Amino acid sequence: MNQVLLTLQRWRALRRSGDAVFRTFIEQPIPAPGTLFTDAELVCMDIETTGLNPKTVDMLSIGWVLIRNSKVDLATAEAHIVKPNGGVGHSASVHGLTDTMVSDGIKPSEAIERVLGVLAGRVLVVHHAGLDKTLLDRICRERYSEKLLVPMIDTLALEHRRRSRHHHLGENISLRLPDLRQHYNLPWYRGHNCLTDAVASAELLIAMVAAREQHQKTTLADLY
Amino acid sequence: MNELPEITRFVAALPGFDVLTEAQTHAVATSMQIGYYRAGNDVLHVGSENKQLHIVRSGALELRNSEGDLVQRVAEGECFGFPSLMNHAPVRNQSVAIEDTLIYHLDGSVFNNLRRENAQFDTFFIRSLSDRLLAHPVATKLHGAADREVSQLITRLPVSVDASATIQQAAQKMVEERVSAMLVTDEGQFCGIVTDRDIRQRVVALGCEGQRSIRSIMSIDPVSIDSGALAYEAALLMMQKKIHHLPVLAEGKLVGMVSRSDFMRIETEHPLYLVNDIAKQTTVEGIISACQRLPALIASQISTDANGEQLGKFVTTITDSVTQQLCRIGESELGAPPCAYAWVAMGSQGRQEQSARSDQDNALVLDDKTVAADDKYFAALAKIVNDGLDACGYVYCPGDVMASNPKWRQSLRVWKQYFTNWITVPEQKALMHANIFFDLRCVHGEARLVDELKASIREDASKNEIFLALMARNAMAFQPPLGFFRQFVLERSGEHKNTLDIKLHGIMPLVEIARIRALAAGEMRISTRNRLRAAAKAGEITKTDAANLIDALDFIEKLRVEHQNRQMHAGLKPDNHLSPGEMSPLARQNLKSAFAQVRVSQAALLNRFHIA
Repeated sequence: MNQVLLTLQRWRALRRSGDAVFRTFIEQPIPAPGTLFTDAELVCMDIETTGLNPKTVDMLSIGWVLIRNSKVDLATAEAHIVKPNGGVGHSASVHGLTDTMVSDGIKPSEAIERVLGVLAGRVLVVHHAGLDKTLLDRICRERYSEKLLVPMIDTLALEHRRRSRHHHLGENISLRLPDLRQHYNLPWYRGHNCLTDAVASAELLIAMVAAREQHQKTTLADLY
Repeated sequence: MNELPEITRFVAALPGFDVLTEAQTHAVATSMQIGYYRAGNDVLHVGSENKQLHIVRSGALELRNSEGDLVQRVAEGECFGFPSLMNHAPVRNQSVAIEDTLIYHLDGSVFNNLRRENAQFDTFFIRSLSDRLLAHPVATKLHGAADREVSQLITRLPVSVDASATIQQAAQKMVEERVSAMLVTDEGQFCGIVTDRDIRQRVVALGCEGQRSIRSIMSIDPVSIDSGALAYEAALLMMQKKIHHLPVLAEGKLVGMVSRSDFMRIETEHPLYLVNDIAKQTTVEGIISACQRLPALIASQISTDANGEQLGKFVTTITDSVTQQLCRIGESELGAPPCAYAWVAMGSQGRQEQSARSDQDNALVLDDKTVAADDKYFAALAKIVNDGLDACGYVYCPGDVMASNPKWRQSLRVWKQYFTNWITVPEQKALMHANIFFDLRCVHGEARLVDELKASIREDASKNEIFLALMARNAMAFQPPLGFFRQFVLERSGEHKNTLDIKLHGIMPLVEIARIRALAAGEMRISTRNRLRAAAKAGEITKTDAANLIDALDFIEKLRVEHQNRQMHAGLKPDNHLSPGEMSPLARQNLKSAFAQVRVSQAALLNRFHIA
């Protein structure tokens, strides 16, 4: 998203919203687009859900880890089980989370509150952002009547742009997280655990930045 | 639920980490940082401070020493950085990714906590450290501790007492023999051990009578070790069993006993322990006093089977640490430097070929951003380091090639100009300078400044045949003599009458041949042996010639080491003046062929540059 537009939207939201948590989040300015990647703090996030339709699915778990000084900081890794409105259904076969496991989870509104806490002043990083970001926006709107107004890097979109620039985009090229990781000589991780996937996308991002020409000069604007 | 199953599983299977508890493994997994390094990028620089243990998750790296020699390859599931972490010493090896590499960085404080909490974990890394020390080129033969056999640690025949003796008799014998522990035998068979501590705890403290049998207080069937085991295995065993004395058996028969203090004694002989000690000093006086051990240390290394190359690296390693620590002390006294700088060693320290007797040659290369006002700082820094080195026994350079001389304290730009002038206007003085300054090596500070300077020298020198030709002619100044009595150039008068300066007539011509050949090959290697190898690789000389010259150098340096060893044993100051009488006929013959080899190579050098 255009960063000027984002700033404008955040400013409008600040005027409208009376919620203390949301205001604290918005009052923390977003990092300038010219900030060097190595100076910025980024939050790599992954969500497991009950299905694929962002308008109807429930969040089951959410995990994140921070990138600081171009390093993935595992001390900041955090994950939460979220109690869905409905049941887990067939999705249990994908992520292994059962109804019993999620019954003790936190409420979605509580989850989004923590998300706002960690994202304040930072940049969100998601691999294949579509579903996750739409779902976060929906939960955020349900709780605070506003979208999740945060700068975001989508590692899949970033790689897609890079390859189309270099005409490396064949029909059979997969941009799935495990395939991209292999491309950057990153180890294979068992997928569909929200925290593992968050770490996996964080490693992918630092690898993608390291592979850029003059990577020390990479700014956030180069990655949006 | 901050579980990181993939990372925890990987950590739990790592060698050394496999002994951690689940909670400890979890603590490791959730405290690490992950970094990604593209092939060709550095992780650690020589001389920098290291605060983390580095675990390779995927990819591979090479560890290279400051001369660029490969020390080790590190691949997935292996660690590096622990020697500097455990010794609190600066990084000794450059680590460069040779593939795109993912590294888990574990904070040093977490690592050291684990070593305190978990003895097995600690043991693993102590063992890895000894392995690494042995792999270090300096340490291959210059050992103090780790790779000696236990039998070599035994200093005297075993003191023992028969089991029928009374406590008092045994104690009297211990006093007479001045030992703190004694073995107990039963009909000649070793059956127990009794120590000062046993007598304290089991006799005196309990008010027992001294007339009872020693058998009643000895430790029965104590832990022992085979005489063929390595010293570090003995040290580990004593650590693990929390004992201070260890009987040594050869084929089941008692041959002696080693104590922790025996191990400490040889441990402190290891060069890296002195290096470590120097790196801990915060005052110049502290460094001077640590250096007092140096002559004895050199003497002990000379008396082991060290060759010239190893001894040169050993002595230089210590000079380097002294220099680095003096620079650090200077920085802490004067504050942060106003601009980036490199402390450069020249001459034999630059070539890592120092001998028992060396003076200092050094210079400062400053970043081009430096301004005139900065010189006050660097003059003060140079004074601290030059004076400190002198006080430590590295006497001032007689030719004033030292950083305290403003001429040799210049910006990178000026240095490049110096070299360009020497190379393009090679007057006699320029050639003399070239001989010293071409052997430059960064010892402290920004290595990139020296790398850049070297790159510029290589560019200038390899293209300038006239300069190389004049250098070659200059290298003829000292020729090795051919025959022994008739043609050996013996000093005719003075203190060294009828001796041969083996450095001037043997080693220096070789050093010069290597320097010129390497420059002609466009190689900026600094040590003489590496220069010869690089020149052979580039086709500048044949592989056979390189091998012969290295053999010749090995032999001449060995003679020098033996000569200095004899002098030090006789309580004399070591020098380079060999008297023909102190050589065996075989040594004379070998020296003759070594000299012949040098002369052939000198002639070939003249030919190469078309000098008749």
